Amino acid sequence: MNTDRNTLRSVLREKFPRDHGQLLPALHFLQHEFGYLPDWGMEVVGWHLGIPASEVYGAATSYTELRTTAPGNHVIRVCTGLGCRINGAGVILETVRESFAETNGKEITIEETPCGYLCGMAPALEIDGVWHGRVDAGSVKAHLKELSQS
Amino acid sequence: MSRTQDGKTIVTVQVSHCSMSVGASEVAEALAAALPDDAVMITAGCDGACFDAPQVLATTASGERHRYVRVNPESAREIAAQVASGSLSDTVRTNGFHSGQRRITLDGCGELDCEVIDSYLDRGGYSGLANALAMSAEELIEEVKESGLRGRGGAYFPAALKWQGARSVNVEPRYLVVNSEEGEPGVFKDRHLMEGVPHRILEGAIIAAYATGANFALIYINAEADLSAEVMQHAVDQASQFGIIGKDILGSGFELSVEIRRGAGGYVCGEETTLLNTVEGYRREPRLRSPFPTEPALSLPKGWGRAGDGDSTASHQPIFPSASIDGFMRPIRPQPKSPPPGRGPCGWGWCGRAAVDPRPPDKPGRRRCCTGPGGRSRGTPPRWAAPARAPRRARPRPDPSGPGNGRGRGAPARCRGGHGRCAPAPPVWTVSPPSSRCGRRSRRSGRSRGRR
Repeated sequence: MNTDRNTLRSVLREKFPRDHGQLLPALHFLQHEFGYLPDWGMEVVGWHLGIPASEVYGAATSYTELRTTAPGNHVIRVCTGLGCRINGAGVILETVRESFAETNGKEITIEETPCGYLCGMAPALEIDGVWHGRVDAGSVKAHLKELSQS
Repeated sequence: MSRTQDGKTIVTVQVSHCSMSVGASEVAEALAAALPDDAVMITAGCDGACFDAPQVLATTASGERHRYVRVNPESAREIAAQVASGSLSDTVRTNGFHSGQRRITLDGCGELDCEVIDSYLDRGGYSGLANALAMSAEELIEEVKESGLRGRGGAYFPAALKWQGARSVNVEPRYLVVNSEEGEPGVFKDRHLMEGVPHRILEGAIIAAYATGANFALIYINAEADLSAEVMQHAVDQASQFGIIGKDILGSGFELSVEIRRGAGGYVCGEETTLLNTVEGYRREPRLRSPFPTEPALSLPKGWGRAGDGDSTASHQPIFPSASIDGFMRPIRPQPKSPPPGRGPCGWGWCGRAAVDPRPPDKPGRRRCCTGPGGRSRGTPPRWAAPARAPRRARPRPDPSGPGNGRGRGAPARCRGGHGRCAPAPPVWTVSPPSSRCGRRSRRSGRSRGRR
């Protein structure tokens, strides 16, 4: 663990100047590397930038896109923002949750996003970083079947 | 190198965040594999007709343009075959969306090659910047003030006033922040600008930075907008190579460095003070408005003079210095109080189609997405994406025994309505629909009925 902290600290030292304003870029980098923000990682970011760990944690948890718990092997994010909600996102979410059992036990994280910015293609959902627009229950089931077979 | 080569058919695939979700990348791959060698394929952003995505435009050497809508990989191969044989068919489905449009901000969106700066330069790009740099910053602010350019973020704040406020702050360094967060659910207009005409936003940002005296610019892009960030970063890199960003821009002595910053989600990050908080590395919480964002705040370790300009405002700026103010403003003067023309809303109209409408609304809130040829289709009711309004609060009714009650004014106790003379002024709103009854038994005035 100490080795990881030191390695991470040296990487941060190369990539980010020691400035309070670099907190969000550093957190983005951390989430990109690990898939989420581990507690020890946030502490190292605080060391490098000179920010108390509590403030780093407070800032990190205030953002909807950053997660502090490890996600599953696959992440499905259903947009439940205004545009998708009035175009049937509830049905999509229910379909995804019901299909959870059909995915051969793979660890799947289902999240809701406030807006995927695909309002012209509502309803939309993201599977492993790829957005699919103009979906309905049938096409969602087809996508999830592909996911379970992969 | 310019891609507009004579004698070749140019096939434009509109690949953007929205059209990629319905298979535009696969269409682009299929076209790239199937097109003949004497045709040129370029990728552009979406032009606003999201309901018809993915779209493919084919422009022949003679200048004829054909538009294909809702293209999938099979129809992409058919298009490639048509290009090879030289006989392009008419559009698969015509719609009135593009007719009658006079594109100002979205000019070139969906047609310009977003990977190559030359396509923007060929259209007169960055001439507005050259004109602006030839004036002094104070002259530039006066010109913008005279034009009446206002922000497009919803507050319609005059851009020149904001720049003047930032310039008057005597602290260094100054930062310009371009607000491309676009956090409001249901709004998807800035993506089109960033993915379609990124250089126009850059040009506007450089002009604004010159006016405010900022030497650092940050373009703050949403966490979800990966393609927009990629395209904007590519545009920044290309502009740096051409000497449009960096030291001594176009020989004027002005220096600017541009950085792309990503947000991390949330509607509130689009608010000016919250955005500045996130840029400075704090929680995403708004601040109170005094001190204003252009003033150095006591809570900061360094005194930063900042001005924030929205994405759409930045994209409007290069347009007017490239022509005279009068020539640009004549068709749309006088500027209405609200909303200003040139940036229509985005939403769903009668036909249930989602679109970004660049036509100026003649009346606020009017639905214009399908008033072209073909008329309206009686489809689903309109569902405009508008921010929720607070419900009307109940206000207390005026005292019925107040003065003037006997003469039929004020709010008498009983009335069956119809004569309207006892309607209170100002109108009294309650949670239930306002009643026109005032309790009177007859239509005769209070004098003939005796004092009440």
